[in-house]
Amino acid sequence: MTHEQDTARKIISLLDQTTDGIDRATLDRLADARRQAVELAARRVHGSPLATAMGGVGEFLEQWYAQHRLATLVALVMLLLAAILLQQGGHQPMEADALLLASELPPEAYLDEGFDKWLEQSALP
Amino acid sequence: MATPAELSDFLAQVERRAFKQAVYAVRDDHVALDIVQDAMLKLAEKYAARPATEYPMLFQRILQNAIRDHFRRLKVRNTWTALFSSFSTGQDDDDEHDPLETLSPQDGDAQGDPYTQVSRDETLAIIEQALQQLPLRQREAFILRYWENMDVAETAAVMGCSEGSVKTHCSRATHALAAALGKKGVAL
Repeated sequence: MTHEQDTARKIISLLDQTTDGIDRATLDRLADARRQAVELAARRVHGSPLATAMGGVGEFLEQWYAQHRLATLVALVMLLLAAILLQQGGHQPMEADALLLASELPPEAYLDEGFDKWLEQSALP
Repeated sequence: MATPAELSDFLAQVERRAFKQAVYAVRDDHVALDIVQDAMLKLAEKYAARPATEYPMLFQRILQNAIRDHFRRLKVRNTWTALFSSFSTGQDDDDEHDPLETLSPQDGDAQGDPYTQVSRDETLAIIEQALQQLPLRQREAFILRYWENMDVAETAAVMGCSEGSVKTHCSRATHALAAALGKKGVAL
């Protein structure tokens, strides 16, 4: 054993004693965590095949999301915006069609560039 | 594949040292407990089907990653504090004296004496403080190599560095600890 290893061994023997001073509340929490981990491991290993398969898909999605979190959020926001814009934009053509069909004027009148001017002039008292 | 009993025995054997490792790194008992708990759950969730012989390395890797994740989050919250600790190297280039040469072994001590108990508690506190003051990588290497009894190759695998780096970190850590303890009058 080298001098360094001997020194390290002596330090470690003292470090081992520090674990004896851990308070009861902390030890209880550690024990609880250990029990939760063991229960989780038992469920993971001995769960039903369907649950395991679903869990596998879920786990894949969870891992993919964890690795591409920002990209996923940006894509979702963009999809939402696109849906909102599409919904708002959709109303205009429908309203224009209804106006056109209900109007007494033929559709060609609305294509006449001078028609708007004539409308303004005829509206003046 | 490990049985639940093997997993339970492994975690029972390692949990106290894992808690202490986390405390030395993050200096907060509550955060350290959360880190250890997360590491245990992650081991159970991801590696329950692995043989029990792989648990020590897997758990240490998970634990070290969890500690590093904590520091990454801390760095986002407080850049200056994290920057200071990141740039700390713990080396004293001006000191060429080998502190290991000044340490001498002491045989036994009186048991049950209150003065001895206080001295022992003070000694342990000094050692813990010295360990906390080590740079993160040196502390990792020292704890994995000497406290968790991993060999150089295993330590390198957990730390994600070369075996040469592990030896360097361990050597520096041991010298730094010996120097710190020597300055405080602690004889090993």
